[in-house]
Amino acid sequence: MRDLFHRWATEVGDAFVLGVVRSIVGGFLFLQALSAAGELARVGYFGDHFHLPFIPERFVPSHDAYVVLIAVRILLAVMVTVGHRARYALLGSAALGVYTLLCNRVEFHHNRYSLYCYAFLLALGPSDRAIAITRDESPSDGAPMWAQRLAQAQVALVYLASGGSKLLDPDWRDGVVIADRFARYAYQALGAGVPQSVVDAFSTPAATSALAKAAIATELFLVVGLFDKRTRVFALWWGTMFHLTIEATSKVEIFTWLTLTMYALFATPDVRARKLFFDPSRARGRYAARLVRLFDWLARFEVKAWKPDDLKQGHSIVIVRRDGSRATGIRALAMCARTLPVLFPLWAPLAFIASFTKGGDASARV
Amino acid sequence: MWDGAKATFAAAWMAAQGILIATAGERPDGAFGFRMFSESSTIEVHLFRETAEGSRVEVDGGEWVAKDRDGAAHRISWGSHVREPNLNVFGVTMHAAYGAAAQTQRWSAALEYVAHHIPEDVETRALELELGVRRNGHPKTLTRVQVRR
Repeated sequence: MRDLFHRWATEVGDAFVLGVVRSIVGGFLFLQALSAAGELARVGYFGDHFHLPFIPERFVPSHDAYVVLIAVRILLAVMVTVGHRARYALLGSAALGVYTLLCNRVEFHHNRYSLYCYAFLLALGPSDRAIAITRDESPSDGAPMWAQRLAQAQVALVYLASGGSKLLDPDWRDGVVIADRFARYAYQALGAGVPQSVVDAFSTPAATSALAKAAIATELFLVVGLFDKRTRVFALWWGTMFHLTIEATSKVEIFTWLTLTMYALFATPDVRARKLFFDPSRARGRYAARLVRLFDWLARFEVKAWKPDDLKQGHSIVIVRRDGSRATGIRALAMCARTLPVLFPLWAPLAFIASFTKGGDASARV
Repeated sequence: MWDGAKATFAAAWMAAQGILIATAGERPDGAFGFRMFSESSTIEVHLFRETAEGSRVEVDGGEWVAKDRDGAAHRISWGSHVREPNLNVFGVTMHAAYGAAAQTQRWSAALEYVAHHIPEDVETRALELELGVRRNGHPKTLTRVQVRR
């Protein structure tokens, strides 16, 4: 335990991904603040109408103070996004965001509270060492990782709370909640072109019960699966599919994209530890290199045109993994899907197919 | 020293989150408890007013006409006081966002607010909400909440 704590407190890594996550979180903060400004313009000051504060009414801001508060939130969100005094801006955004929620619980939403929690935790780490216009001049590698690990723990805590509360609720466990949702919203699925037979099949008590148990199991699996090197990539993929399914079937504001953004914090904190060599004489090689450069948001690859050497064996691209092993063809494609966020949903099927080829794709590190 | 401070902070953060999560059930909306999609419940609300003559009449569409102290008539609108879309629709079955208990609390608080923010109406003695709640598809339960003025 002491050893675990010591490793947690002293671990260092590259802060590049932390910078990427901070910048995207800044975008979410901006959208939230902009939405509040839009509501102020459209509906008016919330204090002039029914509202339900957590805090005593005397601490709720006046109209003018609220206008200033929203303007400051927008400004801070921009600072977080571009990386100007980013950690202070994250701290300010989190504080003002939570304060806003406390002023009117009718406006409380889990995804907004989650956003402010993550903003606060990101402020504690060196998230200003990359993707920042005025950055901490310390090198991005060798950055303390403890706050990033705490943010990871927060992700797990959200799953534990959500999955745990469902597990303890007999209506959820037995599929009654999902069955009622299906019964009330089946018309939307039918309207979207889902065949009646499919809707009927998923609406049976046995199916809704199984789906409920699968949802609970998924959330509880993610609590631990995200932290074990052997299960991490699968947990990230399964969680991604889980959230994309929710996004397609429900309105959850920014929750899907916020959680998927936080998933980036589970990537190994290093930069360009893999190499992608491409054959510049082949259009397919040049195209693949361009795509990887474009979508390699977490800086997983060093992309190089290869010089004539022993790598060139008739392939358009060759990926050299961290351990020095090489991947080509479908295995290289699976490796790209594993590391490029936009292709990540394709990772599992590609890796499955690749597993039938020589060697497969067995490494557990992202 | 820094390691100890980090550990203390992390422990305090996790403990605070743990307490908020563990006590979420005590808050009608489960706020700060990350209970996503906790229910699939519906609510249908009807508004009634008790007039000076003692009659109880349903208010259609959340709007009614009442007189002030000088006898001038005013059109009173629930929606002009409660702007939240799922707290100002009457006679329609709606999804109970954040669960039946959350919506019951919010509607009750809104009733209290409206009842005390219509000084131009001296005819209404009380406002009453009839809340028809169906939690997770179970049989509907009726709750009446009244605020006397």
